[in-house]
Amino acid sequence: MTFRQFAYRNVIRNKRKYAAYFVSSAFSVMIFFLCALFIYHPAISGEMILGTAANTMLAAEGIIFVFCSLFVLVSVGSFLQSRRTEFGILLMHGMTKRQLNTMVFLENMIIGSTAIVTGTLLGLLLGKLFLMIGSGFLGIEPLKFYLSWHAPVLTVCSFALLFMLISLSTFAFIGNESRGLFQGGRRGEEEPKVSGPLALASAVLLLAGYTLAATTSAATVERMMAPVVCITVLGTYLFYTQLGPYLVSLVRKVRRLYWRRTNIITFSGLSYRWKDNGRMFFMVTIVTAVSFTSVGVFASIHTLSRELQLDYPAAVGYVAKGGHGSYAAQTDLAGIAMELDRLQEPYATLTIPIKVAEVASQTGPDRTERLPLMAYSDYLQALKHAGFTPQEPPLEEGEGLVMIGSQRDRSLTADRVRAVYTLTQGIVIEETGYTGHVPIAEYLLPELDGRDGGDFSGIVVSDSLFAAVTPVQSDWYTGFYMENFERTVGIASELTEKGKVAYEKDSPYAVVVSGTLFEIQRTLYSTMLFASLLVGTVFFIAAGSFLYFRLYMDMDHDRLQYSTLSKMGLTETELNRTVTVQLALLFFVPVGLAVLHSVFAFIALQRLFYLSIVLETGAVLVGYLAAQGLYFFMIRSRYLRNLKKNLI
Amino acid sequence: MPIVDVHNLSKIYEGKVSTHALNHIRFAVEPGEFVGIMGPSGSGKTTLLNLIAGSDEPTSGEIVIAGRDPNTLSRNDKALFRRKELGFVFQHFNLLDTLTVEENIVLPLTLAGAPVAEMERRLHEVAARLEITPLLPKRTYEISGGQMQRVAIARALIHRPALILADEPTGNLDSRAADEIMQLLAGVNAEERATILMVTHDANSASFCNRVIFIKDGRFYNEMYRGASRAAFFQNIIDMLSLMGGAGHDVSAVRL
Repeated sequence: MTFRQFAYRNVIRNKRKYAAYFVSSAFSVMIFFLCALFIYHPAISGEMILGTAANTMLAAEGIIFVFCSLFVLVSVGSFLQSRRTEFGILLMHGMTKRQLNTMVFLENMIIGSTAIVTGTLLGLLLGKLFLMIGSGFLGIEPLKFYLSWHAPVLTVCSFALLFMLISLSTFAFIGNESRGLFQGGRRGEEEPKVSGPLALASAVLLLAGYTLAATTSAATVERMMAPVVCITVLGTYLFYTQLGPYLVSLVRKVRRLYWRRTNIITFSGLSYRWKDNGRMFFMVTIVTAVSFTSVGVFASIHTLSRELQLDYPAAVGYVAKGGHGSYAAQTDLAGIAMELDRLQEPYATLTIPIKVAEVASQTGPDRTERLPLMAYSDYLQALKHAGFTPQEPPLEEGEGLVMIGSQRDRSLTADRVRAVYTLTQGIVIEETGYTGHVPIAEYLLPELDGRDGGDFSGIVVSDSLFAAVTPVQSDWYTGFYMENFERTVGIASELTEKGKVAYEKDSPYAVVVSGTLFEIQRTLYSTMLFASLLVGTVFFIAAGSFLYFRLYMDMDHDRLQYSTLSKMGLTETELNRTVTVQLALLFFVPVGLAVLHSVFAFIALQRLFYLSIVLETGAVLVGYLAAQGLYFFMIRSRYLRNLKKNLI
Repeated sequence: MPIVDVHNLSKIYEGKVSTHALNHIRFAVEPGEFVGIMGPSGSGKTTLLNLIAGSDEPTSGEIVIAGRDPNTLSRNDKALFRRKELGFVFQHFNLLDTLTVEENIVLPLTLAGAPVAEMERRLHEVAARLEITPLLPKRTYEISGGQMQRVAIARALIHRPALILADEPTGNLDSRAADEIMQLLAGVNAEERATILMVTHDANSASFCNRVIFIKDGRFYNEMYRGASRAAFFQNIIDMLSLMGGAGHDVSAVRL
């Protein structure tokens, strides 16, 4: 037996132990490869709109890679931990530290390279299917199978590097462990140290995190995000290391409940498990919650596409900025009209003057210098063309309605402080409310200065006030209104490549083409959803692999325990029930907590969305629970079969 | 009526070479008896114990324990039967390390669904009898081997089974602890009239029994009753073991 054979056999004869780790690694490699296949597909990388999709996929690659590094590091660490006795025996028989390191390195590389090869081959096999699903998601023509040399090279190289670096870094984990050997194989099963105050702290932290998440408003949600996440993560850690064992120890004191048939085995097993598994539970919970939330978010972002028509009242909007001398805006407008004529769709045109006034001072914390103004009658015209029914009563002198730039702004109106503006020419305008609809799409007007974000873009004032204002700059807005705005994809491509030129840009005009924007947004969101589903699946399988390893580690202990119990007369039904309860807790407590976390995350996120996201997020959660349930039943039957192998 | 009636029991392990582990064994154990079973390695002691415990099914013959043959029962009933009628003491103690000492002891009653008050009463009774009351709140890794075996005996006694099966109860103990355990078993047998069937290959342990049955190569070989003196009985057992031959290393060194 050569040294290499020794390492090889160590792995191959322990294949059960490494099974889940291997599957999870190979799966990650496969997903990584498939994403690379997608990115380097000529039909994707060459195209303008789909280019953004490729960027999203690239981000997914990055996340998968970083996550995989952590996953491999943690897994290898726990494998080494479980082999301390074995290493002790080897060291005691004269293996040098250097040889031990070489052995561990070889073993890791054997598993790693097999996972890389398996993952890449599976990826090749499933490549066509994946490209079909991907193009289905993006709503484009099915992509032809195309293998660019980049994809396999990128995959193999990056993962080979990953496994190599992590194998090298594990040398730090391997200590000189030959001391403990002479004390025999008895494990000191110390009770976990649990402190009441820390258990209480965990409950308080979790409750605080949830309350903050539930009560946050649209304006504060961005600022609250980081502290709430920190509080919840800390609370979760303490939940598993302190509160959980504390609750179980309380139950153990109630003999009427605890000394009742198989409860005694279930609960004691639970607290035993909890101690060893607290950290693993914690990781599983966090990983699952992150993947729930991100998939949920990207599924919800889809609802934004539904709002698009409300956000872009005109299919094509164009603003000719004043103060740009002799720029021939008419030529642009004529060009757009000509292109629209070619679509053979009926459309209407509306041109509205916008006056930009200079602001001398304003109340509130913000500082707006140039204020775009629109006349009330023009506002009614704009709404009528867009097919909205105006509800605002005519405005009094000095009153002004703030124009919302998109539906998203509605959720911000509650917290925004309304201002009073004094123009340099002495006129005073007070914000008395908000427009009920978007009259002019975002990007076409300069935004008001505002700390809490939002795209509020100007003020609607009464006709007489509008007439009295002497503008520092006069803009003209032209809207082309059309029923099927989706058909305007690619219109005005000489003016704008990506469907919009914002007012803030240094050009003589601002333009928005809703068809093109819609297409880009839809592609982007679909890719994000697709990518987050892929990453979520990688997370999910990794979490499953942690659970599997934990069960595997406890197998011998459990088998001994249940064989004793069965000699003492534990019936098969009782055994099945006990094991099922224990496994169910192991599987569903972390996932349950993760679901709870993500539900509160969704409640907070709902503030950012004008439309309800319950349906989308609900579907994601139900899907995950179903997958976890399936995994549970699979593992349970395997576990029971293994457990009963040498039972009576 | 005997508690255990073993009748023409045979067990053949099938395989490439089938082995006759037990060959027409017959004996009976009366209530309140303390019976030892001895024999060299491979003589079929463990097989016999497994058959009596219902962990294995005989090829032919029958076993009647407390009026019932466990092998005719369904799997589930067999478990319930073991729970009610049998108590076990193992060589490796087999205490559950997730439970405390007292929880280990009451386990048989808990499984049977006894009321908590009843469990606590019997727990204190049996703990006092075995002098392990101070150990009750401890965890199993905190106590010594001899103490663990006491706990295991308490666990085997608490539900007052018809028969206690002991499998090499002193095999994992030093000679001092072994003597203590054996005295305890003999005392429990004498005072509580508990019926004990013990498998051992340690002559010293066997000398605490009322009667020792010797088996060799799966067949009944001999049996001996104890007289007044344990020392004389021990010497007789040693003589019998050397007469039986077997592997010399199986017979432990004399240690009186």
